[in-house]
Amino acid sequence: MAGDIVYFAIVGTGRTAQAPSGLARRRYAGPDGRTPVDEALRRELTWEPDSAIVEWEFGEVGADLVEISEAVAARLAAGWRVLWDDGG
Amino acid sequence: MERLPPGHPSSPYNDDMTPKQPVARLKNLELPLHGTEQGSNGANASAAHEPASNGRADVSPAPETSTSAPAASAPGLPAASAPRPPAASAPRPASETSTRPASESAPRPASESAPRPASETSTRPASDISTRLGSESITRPVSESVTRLTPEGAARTAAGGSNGAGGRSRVASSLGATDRLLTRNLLLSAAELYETREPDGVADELADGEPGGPAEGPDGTSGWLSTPTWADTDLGMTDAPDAPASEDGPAAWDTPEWEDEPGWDDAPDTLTHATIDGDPGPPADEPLTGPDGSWEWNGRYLTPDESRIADEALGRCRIAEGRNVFGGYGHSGLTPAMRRIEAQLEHGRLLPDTENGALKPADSFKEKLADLIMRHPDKSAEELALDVHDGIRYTFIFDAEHYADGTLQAHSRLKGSGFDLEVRRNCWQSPEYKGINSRWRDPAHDLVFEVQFHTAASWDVSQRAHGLYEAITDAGTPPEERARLRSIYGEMAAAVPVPRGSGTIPDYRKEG
Repeated sequence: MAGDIVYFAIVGTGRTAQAPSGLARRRYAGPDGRTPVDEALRRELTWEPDSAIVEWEFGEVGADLVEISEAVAARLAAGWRVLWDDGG
Repeated sequence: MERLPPGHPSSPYNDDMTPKQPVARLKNLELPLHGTEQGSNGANASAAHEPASNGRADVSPAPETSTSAPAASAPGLPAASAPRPPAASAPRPASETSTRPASESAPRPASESAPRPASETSTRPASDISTRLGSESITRPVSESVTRLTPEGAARTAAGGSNGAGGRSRVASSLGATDRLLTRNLLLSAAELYETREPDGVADELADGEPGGPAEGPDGTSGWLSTPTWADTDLGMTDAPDAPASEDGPAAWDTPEWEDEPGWDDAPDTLTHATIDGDPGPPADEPLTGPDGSWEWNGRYLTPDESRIADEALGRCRIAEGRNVFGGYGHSGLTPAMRRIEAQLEHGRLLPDTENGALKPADSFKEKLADLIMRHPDKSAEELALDVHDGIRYTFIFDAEHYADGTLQAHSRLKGSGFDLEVRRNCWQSPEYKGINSRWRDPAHDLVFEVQFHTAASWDVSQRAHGLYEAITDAGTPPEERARLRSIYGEMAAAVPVPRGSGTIPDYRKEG
């Protein structure tokens, strides 16, 4: 489990997993490498602590979370960087 | 006065030399403030439906660290705590899409674009963003929490901690170190409560159950012949999961406490003491609205534009909910519609205090919007304000025996009333939250609202564990502590009987 990172597309209303409105990820840390650490990508393109995944696990019916690959997550982040660098 | 002639208006004596009655002093005639206060959105500020708004500071552990352990590289993904790219200082879509005059839709206030404290400034070059792989360890002390300073709050920004605001504005709250210790203690108290308290129904804790849960049982719909079954009702059940094994709970959860609301005899004696008690001082952590219209609370911050957007969305919710300017209800609005649906149900009912808890309190709404703005960087604040799905929320309670039937019937009635089901999540097989949560759209007002379906037992646990839930979903809670709290929550939830037939109710999400 340690070293594993699971990425999620945060699919807000009107969005799809291919065009989500945010990204979240869960990695594992701690002495045994089994403690989940949840983060979400901010507009500053930094990963910060966030409870989106936990809220979804507790039945949140707002945005949907769809697991995506690391490559897809990287592609989405790169696209946003370009978009937001252009002032979007 | 004594030398004035008897009978003079200011003389202490009457014409016949008898002493006059002492004059009553105005301050002795002053009446205390009385009764409950209405929140800015019209909701009862003390409504038990929203314990989070008032109870959060009491139960949430103060975020002191945001811990990230070393992680594998992820090509193309930014590393944790990467420096803010140039785009970060650009106005957010919220401002850009605002229809307000330019002066109002200006980019974030100076506080947002102000240089971050030294402790927050990354030393990594910006060019690293596109090339650094994956994440890295970011065990940051409190002082390093990324903080968006409020204009007036810069001087007092300190150990705010990150509880979800993450890269956006960790505003040092008014909680000091002592307060944080206090909240820790109260959180422990919440756990102790779980160990000692009997599941005494829902009456005294009609707070806003953010979480909810479903039940299971394949044949639960057989008892109510007049209701269509899940199989022949088009309620969005295209991807029905396998029916989990059911575990019949008690035939009915004893809920006598529903009627056990405190009476006047139990109320504090405010009439006697209100005029002589000293000023208790401001609450430890209360929402602040800046002179520029900005808003902050619990470490969250909204710009003036964002706060205005939230207020406008709240106004829409208020109209859709149905309470009129006199505090009553007519025929229109969601709450009257829910009461009509309730009246048509063969079993089950809305929470007794539905009218006072239907509207999410304004500050809780803003808190949620602040989280969504951070979490959905590719959406504007305007869009996200309309995505707050529980700005209006209702909870139906069924006894375990009729849970599945009742939930199905309520769905039918909701659809029959013109509401569109957008999302349903059956959480009865979740190890933690128990119940069914759903999101509906009111076409008349083009607004979404939330409906939860509970048994008395699942509702009771969701309320007793609400403090735990708040701490668990506080992004500032250390991961190890979160794991511990989730374990406690799971133990509490394990005691909730899964109602028969709940497993036949599938998840649903409307396409598009």
